[in-house]
Amino acid sequence: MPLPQKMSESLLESLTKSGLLDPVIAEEVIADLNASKAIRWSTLFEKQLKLETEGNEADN
Amino acid sequence: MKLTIEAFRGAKRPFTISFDQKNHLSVVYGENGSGKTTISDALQFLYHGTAGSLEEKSLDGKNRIVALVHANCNKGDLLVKWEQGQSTVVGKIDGTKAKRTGSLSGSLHTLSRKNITKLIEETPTKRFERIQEFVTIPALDREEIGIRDFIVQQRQLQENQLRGNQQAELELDSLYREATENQTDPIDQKKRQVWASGTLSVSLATLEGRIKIIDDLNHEITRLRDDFKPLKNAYLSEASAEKSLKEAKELLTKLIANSSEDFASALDTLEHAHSFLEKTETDTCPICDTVSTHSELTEKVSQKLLTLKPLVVQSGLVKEAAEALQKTVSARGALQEGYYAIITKLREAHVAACNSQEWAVPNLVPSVNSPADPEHLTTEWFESLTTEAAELKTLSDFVDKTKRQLLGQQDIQKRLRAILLRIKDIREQQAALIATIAKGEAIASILRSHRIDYANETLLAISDDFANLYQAIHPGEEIEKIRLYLHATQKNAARFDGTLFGNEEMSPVACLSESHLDTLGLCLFLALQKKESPGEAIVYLDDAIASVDEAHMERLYGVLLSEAKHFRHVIITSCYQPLRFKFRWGLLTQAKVNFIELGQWSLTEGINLAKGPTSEVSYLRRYLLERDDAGTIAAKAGVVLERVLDFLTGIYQCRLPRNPGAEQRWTLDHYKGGLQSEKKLMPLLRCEHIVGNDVQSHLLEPLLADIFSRLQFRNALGCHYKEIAGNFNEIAEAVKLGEATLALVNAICDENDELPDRQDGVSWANRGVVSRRLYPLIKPA
Repeated sequence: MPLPQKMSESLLESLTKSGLLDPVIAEEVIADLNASKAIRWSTLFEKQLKLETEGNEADN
Repeated sequence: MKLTIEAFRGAKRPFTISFDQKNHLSVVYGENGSGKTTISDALQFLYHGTAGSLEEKSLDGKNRIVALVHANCNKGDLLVKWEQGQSTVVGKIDGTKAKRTGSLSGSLHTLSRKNITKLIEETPTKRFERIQEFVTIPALDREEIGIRDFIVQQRQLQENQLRGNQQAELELDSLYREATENQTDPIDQKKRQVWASGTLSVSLATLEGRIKIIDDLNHEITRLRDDFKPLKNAYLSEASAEKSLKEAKELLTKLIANSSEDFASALDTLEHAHSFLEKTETDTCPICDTVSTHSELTEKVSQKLLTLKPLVVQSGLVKEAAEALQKTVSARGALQEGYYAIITKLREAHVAACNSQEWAVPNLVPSVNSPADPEHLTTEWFESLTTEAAELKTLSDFVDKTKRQLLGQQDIQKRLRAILLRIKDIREQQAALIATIAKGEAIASILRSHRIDYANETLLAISDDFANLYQAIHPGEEIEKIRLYLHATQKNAARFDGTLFGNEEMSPVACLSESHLDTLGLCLFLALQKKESPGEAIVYLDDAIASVDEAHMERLYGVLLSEAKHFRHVIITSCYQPLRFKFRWGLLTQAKVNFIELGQWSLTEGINLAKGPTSEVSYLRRYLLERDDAGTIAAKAGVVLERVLDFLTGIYQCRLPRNPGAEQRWTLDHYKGGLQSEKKLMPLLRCEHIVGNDVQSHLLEPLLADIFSRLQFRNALGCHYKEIAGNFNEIAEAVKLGEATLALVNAICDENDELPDRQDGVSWANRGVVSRRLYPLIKPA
């Protein structure tokens, strides 16, 4: 059962707010929810951490 | 749609029940134990692969699916078949699981009496479980659980890291104690910090450089000590070789003195002559040209040489001794060079140690400092070195001690660095975990709020429908804006909200009657089902309206009939006798309802449909022909009469007692009283038999009067009042009652003994070849 469109948009906004998740990763979460695909949270956070680290290195 | 079950729960033999698809509502009536729940279980077995009503019961450890098999049948005999249009789906048991062949369309939703109660009266959490499938998005639910599980795992990791950090701190304390021999407890953390900083102030490279300086010094001292003997031995060997040469020369001198003066030149000449003769075959002496034989010449030269042999041997020994001496001199020289190199390196290592200014390095002994080249390393020099050995040991001891200290320092520093590195790693990981957990909790909170919002939006969306349905059944009752909602903070709690009788604080459970709560639950269930793809759903309400009284029955059925069109089909089961009579009376016999009545269940026969007058009448006809037993005829006549009189009192709404007695059934006397009280109706009751243009009219009043006059006989026979019964000719009276009953049946029923079951606007009509019309349609006012 896919998420209602309105809920997808609201979730995306909430998940990316204040840098909680990278937009690319938040999109993945929404896509997985819509496809009823189980999310591997550990992998997801690894990706998020990697992106944050790369971002910090680029800033430095 | 047709359901066939065999060897399944109460159904031993194949039992088929049809649900007319033209109608969206089917009512299955049956007394307790007639098989209503078996039908529900069969559908759940097929649609959900579950044991239906057995799922929530304890079977003392027995497998629920296997428990569905009829008591007298085998597992392999079990069959559930669902036919709809061209498709057939079959359910069997495979091992201990349900196995389905064929694909089912749509869904099945079952609501039992027990579940209605749970829907309303359960705790908010249990109530949520009942409605969860309607108000949640499974993926959202699953991932909320998933992220929370992930957070739990991260917290466990965090705890492990904390334990790891504590362990590292303890190791640091232990190392501090070991390094400083400080046994105070607790340890002064500031002092430990100062110690750690101090320990790490010397870089690893510096420490290794110091160790190398000391190692080099140690190495050269060791070589000075160990390589001493070969050189000393070389001096001894040289002295020995000199002595041997001297002695060999003295002996040779003596031998020469005892021989002729020219022995040396003669010896030389003879040796050359001997060599010449060995190479040639000449017969002439090469020195004096004397002619002789070659062998004689050789013999003479050899004998001459033999006399000079001791001189030759000693001469060789002198030569060998000289060579040996030369070798020992060379060897000693090489060793001197090597040993001098050791001394040079030792001096350099000592200078390096002194220059490092790390230690007060003891001085080198004079014998090490004095030699300027290898030649100075004489035996005398060795003697002086030997006398200084004790002094040299001071330096050696210093080196040993310093090396131990440096290695200890290096070990402590390595261990300290490893522990501090571990602590640093742990702290970094902890920081990452804290950040991850915080994000995880924020995500879980977002998922939860969206889940609750979605559920509440769904519940809000159905709230009007829910309230309207309830109002339709209970009009005018002050229930306003009643709705379910998910509590914002309480975990998965579905609570009721709204105004009941003008009181916002009132709970439905507290102020509504049992039947009101039932209809409330039913309305909630229907409203939720309608929201969830209703067009494909089959809704099975198993005995779900048991507590509804007669006053609300018609309104409830009006609602169900109206709602049924939203679903593929709605099936209601009930054992509620007034319901049966409502249908029998025709008050609820609407064209859009299939009314199915289940007969008496038995272990051998299993579930069966109720037999109408047809089969009972055929029995009566047979008994009348056989005329064997008055009781059998009277009993069967009574059964048929009950059906027909029930029908007549039903459609004409005759007055019958509210409480029909302990068996909850009306007796023939009740029906008789009901009909006889209808003074206006009775004379008008007639049935027309129409064949083409031929119309025959049969008044029912005389037929009924004849029957009523004979009921006393049946009662007497049935009630065992033998003293009264004795006044009758039993078989004759029984036959008369039977024949009177058949006359009534023949008047009303068609050739299949079916009662009229439809209204044609003016009368009740049946479907037989000979059209029969029962008048009037309604009883006169």
